[in-house]
Amino acid sequence: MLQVERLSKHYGVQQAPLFRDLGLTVGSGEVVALLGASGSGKTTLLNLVSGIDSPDTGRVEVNGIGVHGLDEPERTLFRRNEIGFVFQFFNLIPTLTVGENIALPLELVGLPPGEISARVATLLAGVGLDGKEQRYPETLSGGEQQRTAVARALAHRPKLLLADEPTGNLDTKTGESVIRLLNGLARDQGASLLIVTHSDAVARVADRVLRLEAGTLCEA
Amino acid sequence: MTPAPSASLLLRAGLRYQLRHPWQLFLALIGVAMGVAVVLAVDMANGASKAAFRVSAEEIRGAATHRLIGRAGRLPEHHYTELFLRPNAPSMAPVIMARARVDGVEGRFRILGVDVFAEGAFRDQLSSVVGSQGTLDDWMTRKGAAAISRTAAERLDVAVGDPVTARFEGTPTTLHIQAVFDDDSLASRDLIVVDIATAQALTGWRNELSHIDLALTPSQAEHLAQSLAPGARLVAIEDQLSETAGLSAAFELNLTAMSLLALLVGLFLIFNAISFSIVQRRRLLGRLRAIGVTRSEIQRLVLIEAAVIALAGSLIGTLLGAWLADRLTLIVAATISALYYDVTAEALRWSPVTLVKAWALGIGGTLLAAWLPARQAAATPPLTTLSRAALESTTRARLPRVGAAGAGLVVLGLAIAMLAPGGIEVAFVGLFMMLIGAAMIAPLALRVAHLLLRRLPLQGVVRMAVRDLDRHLSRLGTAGAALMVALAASVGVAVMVESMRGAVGDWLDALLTADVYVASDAFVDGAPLPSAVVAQARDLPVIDGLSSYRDRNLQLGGRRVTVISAELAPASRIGFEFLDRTAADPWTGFDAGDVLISEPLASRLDLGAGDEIELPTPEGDRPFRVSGVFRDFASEHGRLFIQRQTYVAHWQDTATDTLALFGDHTTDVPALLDALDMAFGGSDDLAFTAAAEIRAESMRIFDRTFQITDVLRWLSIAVAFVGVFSALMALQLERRKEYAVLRALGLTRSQVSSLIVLESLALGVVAALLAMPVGLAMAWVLTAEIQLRAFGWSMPLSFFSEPYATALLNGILAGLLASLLPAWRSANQNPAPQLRED
Repeated sequence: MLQVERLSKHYGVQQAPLFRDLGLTVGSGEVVALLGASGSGKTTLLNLVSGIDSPDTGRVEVNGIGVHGLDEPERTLFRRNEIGFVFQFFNLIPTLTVGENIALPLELVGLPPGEISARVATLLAGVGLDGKEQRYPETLSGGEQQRTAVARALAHRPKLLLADEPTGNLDTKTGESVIRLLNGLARDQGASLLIVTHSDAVARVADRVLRLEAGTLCEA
Repeated sequence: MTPAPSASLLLRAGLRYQLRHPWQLFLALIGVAMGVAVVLAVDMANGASKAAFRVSAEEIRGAATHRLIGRAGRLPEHHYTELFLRPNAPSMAPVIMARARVDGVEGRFRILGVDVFAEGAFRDQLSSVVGSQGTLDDWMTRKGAAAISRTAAERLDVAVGDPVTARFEGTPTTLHIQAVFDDDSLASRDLIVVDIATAQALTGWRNELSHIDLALTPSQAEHLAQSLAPGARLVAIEDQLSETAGLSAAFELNLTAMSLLALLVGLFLIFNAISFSIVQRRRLLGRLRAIGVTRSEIQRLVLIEAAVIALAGSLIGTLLGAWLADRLTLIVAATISALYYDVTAEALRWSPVTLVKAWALGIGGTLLAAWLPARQAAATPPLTTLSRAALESTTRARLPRVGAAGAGLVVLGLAIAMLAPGGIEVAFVGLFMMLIGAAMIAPLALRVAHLLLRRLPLQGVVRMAVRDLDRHLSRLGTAGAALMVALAASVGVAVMVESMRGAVGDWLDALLTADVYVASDAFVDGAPLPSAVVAQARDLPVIDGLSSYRDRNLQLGGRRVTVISAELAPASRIGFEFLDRTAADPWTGFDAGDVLISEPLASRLDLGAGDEIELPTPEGDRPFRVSGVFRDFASEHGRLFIQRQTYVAHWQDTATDTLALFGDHTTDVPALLDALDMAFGGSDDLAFTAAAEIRAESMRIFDRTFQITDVLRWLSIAVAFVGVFSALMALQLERRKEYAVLRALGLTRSQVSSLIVLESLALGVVAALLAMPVGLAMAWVLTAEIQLRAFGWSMPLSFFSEPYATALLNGILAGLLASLLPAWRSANQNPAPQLRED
């Protein structure tokens, strides 16, 4: 599903490269946890995989699409269609309701309204937010907001889910419930999941745990 | 939740954002609304006056297509007989039109003298009024029979059978109301219809008509034009109406330009409000970009939001504009009536064209103002949010380029305004380019002010305020530009008006050399002086010299030019300032039968000393040599002086309208006035006016003429004030967290307030300082080019400290007032919630 080869990236002329010839493979339906110290480049790696940022050299291929070769508008459409993102700070749209936040990616990919409604209802039930579809994000607890974000990330059935510290802003218990949910739903949909985390509890649900150190990946 | 099929969630998110920030939304709406309101109001006021004139003229015109008019003024009656007796004579009706006062009420009435038998083909309504009420016999036989509109009858409080006294040029005539007709139109409200013979008796125009109305086919018109006797001219009524309505075009264009200035300032507000909303949402936009929303979708979102604001703002602006127009119409109509043609201030008319124009400007302008912020929004990188610091450093990096482009635009604008050929439209385009260029320099001026101020040994909050000037350039720059444009316009217009006021004052001082001026008490109605008075005045022992004047209006080049026949005492001649100093002595030519023409007439007809001008006389057009061009502010249409004997020889008119009397050196003005009062037995029919009084009255009229300009100038400042207020409110909202941190670090409430007030004051002062040279340049363009191209008069640019001092004061006041609420809100916000936010 995800194939990263000889990836390198550095910021600023003076600074040392963040990665040098980094390689990574994530299989279809596989759940991979990515550990590493702060500043090791975990978020940057996610950004390169999702096309938010572009590499200096190397290849990133997702579901057969060479992300490294796409221009900016193509990368945006790639993200829209192929990727689901869960962030540490939820990043919900505050002026849209829970239901509308989940519906947003579906509207972006042009699904008919009837199908959007049906899928939003299923997802709401799946993340345990039945009856809260009309609420605005600010009226929800952190866990509920992150569950909304998980539903939004899965709404358009992406092949690859990227999660950047999804429990970093939640207490342990809530974090565990969110990660179980994310893991379960991703497996149900057959999506691959790459989770950046500091949490051993999160890492435990993964099929494989990798550690990013000094610009290279190794099995933890 | 089921999203509505056609609703875009993106758009919904954007619009909800606006609704959640009512202050910002309100200020953006105000920007659009005020701009649209001022444009709409001025357009409606101009349109209302023009429409009132048109409607009234159209109704009086009836079915007529052409008019036969006199070349040298009124039309001798024999033209009617001559035309009537022609084989296959067209339908025609003789008409007398005049304005007369009626005893007992203020204002003047329109006297329409018609031949009731000829009227049927033209104004059948009028002929039926007379015929249907069985009054035809009375109409024909009773002296002074008149039909009057119901509104006029109510105004005069008269009914059928009552007499009224009408005064034309001060001479009374008794009219008897024979019929009262219903009026439902503008034209008939001040109308008194009489038989043509009665009208001739009332006006004293024996054997003369105002014109003959004709209903002609194009071929008939062509044929008739070729076979006319000398002294008559055939004009298409449509052309005549357009010509008259076009007289005020320059005045209206000036007003429109002023209103566009208010819109320009309004656009700065919109730009500010929308770009602020973008910066505030940079994180949200980053999130959208991260989940796959494209740049063009973001750009479209911002533009659609702007369009919705523009629609709502235009709607509010329309209501506000209607209210404003109601007030402006009275001022515009009064000015047009005083300077151009008679028009009644009537109820406003909603013209679809005006609405479309104002809405197009409002919506188009908003989209234009939103274009840059929309591009800025589209450039937001996904997730890696566009930080405020990054935005500010980008703004600072662009400043030299933007400033240089602005300076280029200023130079180009000035070059176009001063050098490019064309009418006032071209000069206004140049002027607007210069203003926009200057606005682009405003943020750079703020930065320069910061760089200079930071060298001073400032402490604490003052130092922070100076630093903030530079830190918030992206916000303050636009607000400063808006305020600068408004203040510059204020300086420019004030300097122009004051320069003109000075020039008119000097001109009046030079012109009014006599001690006392004598005219008939009904001079304003056109009454001449009795000839006995003229003869008696010459022989008065207290009089050392005398000048006499007779005015006549002639059509020249599509405009009504005042021809003044004058017998000028040497002291009166001193008052003329000739513009072509290289020419031979103009007075030698004048005494030999040449004419002197005013500067507006010379520039409109492109004439100078030595050229010839053709004047319509009763014997046909006659050429006269121009011996000099004199400075004149009396009329933009032009004036022409001709020696009295020459005039009498050509026009056979020996009347005198006014006398300028020079007392002997032993008699002062009050003593001279007493002596005149004694000599003329305290006559009620004569008005003796001291030169100083005429000067004061002339200056009062001048000031009234510029009343509308003043109103628009203040409106622009009001719009700019909202701009500064909006920028400060926006900053206050954006910096809530920063203020909370400052409070947490130990800054007192009053220190937070002082920080905001000082920043705002500095903004106002910098805007005012930049507005001074820009305003001076604007005044230069207005004085040297726009006034010259619009009205034909040139005047030196004068320097007055008052407009600059006022601009500085207004800048300080705008800065201070706009900061009060933001300062109060920031100082009183609870810092705790802000500190908890991530």
